[in-house]
Amino acid sequence: MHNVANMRSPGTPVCHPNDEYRAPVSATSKQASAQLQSMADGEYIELHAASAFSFLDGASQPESLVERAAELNMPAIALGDRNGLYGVARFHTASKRSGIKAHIGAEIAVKGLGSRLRPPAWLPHQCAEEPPRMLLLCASQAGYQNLSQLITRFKMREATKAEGAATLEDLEEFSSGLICMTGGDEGPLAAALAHGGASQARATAEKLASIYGRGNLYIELQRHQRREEECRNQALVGVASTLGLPVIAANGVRYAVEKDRELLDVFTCIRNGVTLDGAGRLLTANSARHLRSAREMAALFGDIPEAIANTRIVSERLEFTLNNLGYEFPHYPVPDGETMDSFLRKRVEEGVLKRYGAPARRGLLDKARAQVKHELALIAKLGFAGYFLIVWDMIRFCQKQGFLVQGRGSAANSAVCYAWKLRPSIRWAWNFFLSVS
Amino acid sequence: MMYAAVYAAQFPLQALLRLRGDLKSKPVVVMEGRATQETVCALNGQARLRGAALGMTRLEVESMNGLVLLARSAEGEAAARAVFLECAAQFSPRIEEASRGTACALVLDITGTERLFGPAQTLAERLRAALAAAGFRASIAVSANYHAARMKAAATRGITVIPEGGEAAALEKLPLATLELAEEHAETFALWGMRTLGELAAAPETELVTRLGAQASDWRQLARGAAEHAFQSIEPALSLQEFFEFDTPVEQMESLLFMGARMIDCLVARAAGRALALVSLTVDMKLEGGRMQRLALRPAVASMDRKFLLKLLQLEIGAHPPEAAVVALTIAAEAGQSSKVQLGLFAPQTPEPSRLDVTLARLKALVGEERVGSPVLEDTHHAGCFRMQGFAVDGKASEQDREPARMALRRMRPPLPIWVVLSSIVAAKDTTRIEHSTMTPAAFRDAVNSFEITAAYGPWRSSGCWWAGGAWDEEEWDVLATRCDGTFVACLLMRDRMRNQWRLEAYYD
Repeated sequence: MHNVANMRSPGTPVCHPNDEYRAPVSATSKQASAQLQSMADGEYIELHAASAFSFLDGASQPESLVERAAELNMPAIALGDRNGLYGVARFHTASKRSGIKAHIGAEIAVKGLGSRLRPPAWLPHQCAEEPPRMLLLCASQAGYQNLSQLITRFKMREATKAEGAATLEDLEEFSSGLICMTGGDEGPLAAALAHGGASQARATAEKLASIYGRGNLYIELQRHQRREEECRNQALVGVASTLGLPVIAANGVRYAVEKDRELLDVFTCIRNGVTLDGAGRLLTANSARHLRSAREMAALFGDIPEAIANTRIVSERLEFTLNNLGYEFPHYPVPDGETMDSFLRKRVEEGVLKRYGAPARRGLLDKARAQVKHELALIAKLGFAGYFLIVWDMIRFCQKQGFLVQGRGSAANSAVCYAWKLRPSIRWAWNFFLSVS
Repeated sequence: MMYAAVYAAQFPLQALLRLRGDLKSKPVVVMEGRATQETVCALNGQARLRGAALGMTRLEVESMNGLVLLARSAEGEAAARAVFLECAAQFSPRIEEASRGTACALVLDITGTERLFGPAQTLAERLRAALAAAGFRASIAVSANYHAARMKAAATRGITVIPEGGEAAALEKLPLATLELAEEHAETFALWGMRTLGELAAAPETELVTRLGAQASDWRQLARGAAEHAFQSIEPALSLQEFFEFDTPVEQMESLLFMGARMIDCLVARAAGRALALVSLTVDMKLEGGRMQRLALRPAVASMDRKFLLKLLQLEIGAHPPEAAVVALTIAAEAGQSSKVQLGLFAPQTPEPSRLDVTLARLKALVGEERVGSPVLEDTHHAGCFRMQGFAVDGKASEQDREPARMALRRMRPPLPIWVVLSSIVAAKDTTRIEHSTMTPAAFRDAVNSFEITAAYGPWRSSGCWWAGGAWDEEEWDVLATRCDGTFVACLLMRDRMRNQWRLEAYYD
């Protein structure tokens, strides 16, 4: 028995009032403590974060998420917006500035896996039936291509502007190179547990495992300090154990810092057409969906340390970044003994001579050659020779047919194209050639 | 065709007296106009016997002993007119308004009602009795001619049934004033020595038209009971409302209830006339100083029991007494189908709805309205929030939830303040940083007992209402604890993170 004399009276602080979290732990658990002691900052990677590009479902810009991740010494972070890759370019650019790795993914709605959790029938605010969403992360370039094609496929299927949803057949067709995480409240396993219990959740997990392979499917656990969520987590751990699938921790991040929960609440009201006072349980129950540090997450998952360790493993498996998009322009057939770069150089030299070879314009020839040389070097570096040769071929065809040819954009404004008598939309723009690249 | 004309003379007076039976035997005059220029607009027979007359000033009538002076009430007349119309509507759906001056007059198309109400004489008697029950004295005339019925009702007292073809005879003794002629024409007829409708009817039509124009032909037709009329039926909407303005502001509840009882009687009778019951009552009290106070009575089932409704009114006024003396009282009722509950042979007996209502009203008066009813969870993440909604028995067997049995939570209201000891498991390598440590409750005590916690699960956090004054940020712990006497409890501890206060919120049963 504790010494009652040491107890503090109500109203006096018994612990630090600003402590940010407490793990759902048993008082008898000492194992968690030992793991916490050894937890370093970089041992947790947030792999499930949505930005404000998940319209009215996320409250922070991609840059804010990256900046916060950098503040927390997170070596990498993944962005998974709802049914799209809208935020990835800004996310990638910000990550380069902050020096952390930006993993790319998307939360994809899937038909055929039941419907998302909905509010209990007795609550006044109900929402329309929606398919569940799960997180797909690009492990490789092929994965990125598949994810892009998957989104295009189901978006194009909609007759009007709509979110759309992938079918299980779509998932199977575009599955390679992707790692699947099963999501939180919005995910298919949460829906399956609610509608059919553990057996349905197992069936759903098996279905996903057959699509992505057992090594590429992770049972996602989120802990926002809610009882019902913890009840689901226990069931999911059971499902993962039964099927031999790995579990992974994530925080289902919807905003960078705790304070931004207020913004998300306002977005929720806008999305549902209600006031803050009338929103009730449509709003989030607490402010736990922010980016948490490795220590916080380790404390939360003290009883399941492998869930934290798996974030690091998955992050290492996600090799793809937007640095290596891997797009190659088509090859242009060139005569034997020529490369595309050498063939292009000759064609450009011909054009320069035609434009500036006349005695009256000899004064500009050297300047033009210097500019062209600079541009050809850049083209060779970027591997754009094939593209410029196609443009040259088109110009040549049009000139033969007597068509007026005009171009726009940084390539059309180049000295290379000008040498071929392509009319740029901005004639003075030479100095801006490919400056956006 | 057959028409029944109903004529209520001195309507401003009747509107005021119908709820004031105590004044019916007294000489009463009704005054209208601005304060210094009031004149008599209606009076009863007793007042007339004492020398009062229409148009007299306040000074003149005040000089007569024993006269009761009342102020004309437009709202009261409107409410009385609605009641008058409703009484008439019980006998015919086709009614035309024929009011003139301060009288209220209606003409009913009673064609084809013999099988419902009997011959014209019987109908007229029943109609007069219905009006009398509502507090009106009216004369009734029945005729196949619209105008004959209208003029006869206005000019005579009691009931007159004019046989078909006998209109001219029935009207012949009526004064020419019945036609409401312009002063100029009335003088002309007076010069000619014509004073009754019979004399006008006997005059040659051509000669009359030659001297007085085409309108003289219409007058003659009216006098002969042969004028035609295009009936324009009004469609009275059911508006169950009674209004009463007190002579002096009333403070005693008894006076309010006395008048309220009369008004409820009228409302119940009017609703009953349409086979309806009262679903709700709205009582608007105009207070001294111009403020309004509203009370609402909504019995569990629609009722026609005046005693029960009056009891509810008494309890409601008792629970919400007027904040100042009451100047005027308006009771509006919503009518609905009277409740019919099919009782099941094996269904458990439920309390009689009216008695249940009275009991609930008594409880509300005793403990406050917001503390009686059924608790309903609020739509919020804030634990334990609920509101009370009116308790009602729907008569249906309740469907049991098929959910598996769950652990019950017995909330402490109010929660019990407790003292807590935390055990800290330091997580950070840097032990000077305590914000990343897991601190769990290890023991607690209330004012009486001490408890040692053997297992704690949590914290479960909720926060919200950050945009308003009621912001909260709380964490809950489910704990298993042993009391110092060795007994075992499972309870829920709550920490208010904004004030850093601990409470024992509930026990798990």
